[in-house]
Amino acid sequence: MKDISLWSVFILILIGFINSLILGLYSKEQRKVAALANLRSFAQLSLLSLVLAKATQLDSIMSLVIVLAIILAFATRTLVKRTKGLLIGYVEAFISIALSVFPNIVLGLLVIGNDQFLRPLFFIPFVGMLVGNSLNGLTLGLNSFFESFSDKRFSLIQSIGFGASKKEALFPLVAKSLKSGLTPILNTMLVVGIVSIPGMMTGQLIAGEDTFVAAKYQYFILVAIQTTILLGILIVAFLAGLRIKKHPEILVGDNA
Amino acid sequence: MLRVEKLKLNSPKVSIEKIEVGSSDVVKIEGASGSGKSSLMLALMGLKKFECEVFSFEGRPVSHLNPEKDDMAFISQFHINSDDTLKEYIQTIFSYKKNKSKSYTPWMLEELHKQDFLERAVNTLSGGEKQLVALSILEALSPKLVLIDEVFSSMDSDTEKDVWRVMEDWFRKRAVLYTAHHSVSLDNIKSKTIEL
Repeated sequence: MKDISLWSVFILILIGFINSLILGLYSKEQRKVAALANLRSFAQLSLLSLVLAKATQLDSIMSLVIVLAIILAFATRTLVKRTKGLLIGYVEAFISIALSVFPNIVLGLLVIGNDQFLRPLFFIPFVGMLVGNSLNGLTLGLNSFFESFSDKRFSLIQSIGFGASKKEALFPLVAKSLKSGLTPILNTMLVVGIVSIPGMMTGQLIAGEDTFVAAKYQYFILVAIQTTILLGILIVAFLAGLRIKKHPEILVGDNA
Repeated sequence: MLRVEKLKLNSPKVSIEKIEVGSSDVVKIEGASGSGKSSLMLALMGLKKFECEVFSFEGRPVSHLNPEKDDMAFISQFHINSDDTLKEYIQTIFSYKKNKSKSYTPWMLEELHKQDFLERAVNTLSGGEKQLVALSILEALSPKLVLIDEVFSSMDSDTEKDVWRVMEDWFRKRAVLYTAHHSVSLDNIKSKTIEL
């Protein structure tokens, strides 16, 4: 594949800065975010290319587990920061992400086979893509859950007063957060192939892979993202329920 | 039915020697704003930390009241709240495992000419209307013990009189522990007052 020259990359960075300046005319805060996003994305992708270039040397399962743990640790930090960790801390967030990613790794081993799936140049981008895409849905879903919990805590108390178990009282919140978290990926799945050609398939097509093989891989990643978001939200809700059961005073907050 | 002795709450500071509610007693918790009436109710429900020497319900020692397991219910002062219609909200309440054997008939709303509430979103009802609805649900749940926190506080006096007209007998037949700045209705039949 033809290389992109460093001059061209410089022009791309410049375009990114012009975009951030235009955005800055409307929002100073967003100008900073956009400028940072342009710089960080290039720096992070360059760093990733260096890591992946060395990845072929990661020939043991343990080295892949370490890479997986690092990805999960960063994802945990992002999730807790973005959701302001009202009902869950780092431990619960890590457990929920790890447990929701794990079944997809097993699925990957079964569907794709360990000789290909455990190749570092397949495994690392796959997990990165899975966790990265799932984080958006998880963040949306969990923000909805925590916001509903804050806004409707008195409604929860009343449900309990009328005889609901903690699980029954939390059910409407979980339903709402699943809807918020899964809507983007479900919408993507509804229009994929018609309105959009997503990243993994595009990459494989550019690399000259068979079109139907590329379609099947893309379908696999979409189902894996959906599974991760679904399980992640359910696990967090379960852990939050356990926390409320142990410390029911959380329901009252500072208002009583 | 309910017996609590030497109860202490740290925040706000509340100390009560004894709460005793017999099977048809109506007991009022009285105190100024901020004296901890609502906190006491939440503590009895296990939603606030407290200490006590004796806590028993129907003769059994318990750590706190539990509407999921015990034959009791609680109406908080914070009103019912839902984006659903009242009909859907009531269906949800009566789908809980504990309430499955019970059913809701809107006779009280019909009696008060408020049956149109059923089709309205709960969040569009006023505070007083929500309290009226909460009482009609409580009536259908028909528990032996009810804890009610400022339940008439947002009702105008005419609505309170109307509700009382249809619920007085019901209240007289059960154990009631309530807080209220003033409630002409329940104050009429109270058998005991606990000062905070």
